[in-house]
Amino acid sequence: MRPMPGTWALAALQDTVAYVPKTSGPPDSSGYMWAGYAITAIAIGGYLVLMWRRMARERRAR
Amino acid sequence: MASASATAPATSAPQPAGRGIDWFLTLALALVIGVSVRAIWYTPVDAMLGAAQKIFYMHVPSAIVGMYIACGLLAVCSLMYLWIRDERIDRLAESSAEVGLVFMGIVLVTGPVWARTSWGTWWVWEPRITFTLFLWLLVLGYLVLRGAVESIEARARLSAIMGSLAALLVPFIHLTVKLFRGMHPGPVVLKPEKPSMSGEMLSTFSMASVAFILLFFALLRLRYRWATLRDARVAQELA
Repeated sequence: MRPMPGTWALAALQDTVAYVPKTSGPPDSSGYMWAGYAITAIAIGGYLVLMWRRMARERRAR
Repeated sequence: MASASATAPATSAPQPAGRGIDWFLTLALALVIGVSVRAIWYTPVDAMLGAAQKIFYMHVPSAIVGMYIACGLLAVCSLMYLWIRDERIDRLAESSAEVGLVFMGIVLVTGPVWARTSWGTWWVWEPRITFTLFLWLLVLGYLVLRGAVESIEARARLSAIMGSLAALLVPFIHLTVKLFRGMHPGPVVLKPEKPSMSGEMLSTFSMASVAFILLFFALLRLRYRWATLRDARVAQELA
């Protein structure tokens, strides 16, 4: 049975990190997925920037 | 026995540092972006682990590239350097170690993010994770060693020894899921039975693996070019 809106609001006020059971489907872990993809993008992007700076420095030195 | 090429840095003329677009790198990056889009929006969500399972398409290809390909190349080049003493092989080993370190770093950071949601904890000192961290530290040590030794020949020789020894950890890491009881799952794709994932998931994983392998070689090529330019500049300064 779904809780009444008032009960829901009271529960949310009492515990802001309360877990809310889903009726079906896998758990929502999309935040972790985005974090994983962001880490990969930052690592590869960061290394490309490093290499671009290194190459630019070598070209200036020649 | 050290040859003359090992005692003097890059006497051969370096390849011109192309200022245009690196098409190989552009293609590899486009493939990685494309496969990420496919993984996030067009690949089914795992019934048990939810969307976080999609980290698999970055985590495992990074491990394949960082451990098996980069460390394998590091070992082969290190052993070849000890035999042939060619500075180009030493440069390739150095480049492979650095690019591999980036991919192993991705493995070590995306792993805990996935573990937090699937295992309920960020980090577990279980064999595969722990030995992967050791390997990452060894490769980092290899690069630090290269920066600490001034003599070109000694640097190449010592780092070749360290590189070939560090890579010995890779087959051991591969076998940790069979040798020890840990939390890491056993093989999912490469096993005697059929892979434990749907066809769509498997095709996304295959594409991601190809894209990451191409990206590794594109970055390796770029890193090798830079090392060639750097060694040529050092040779000019010493002359």
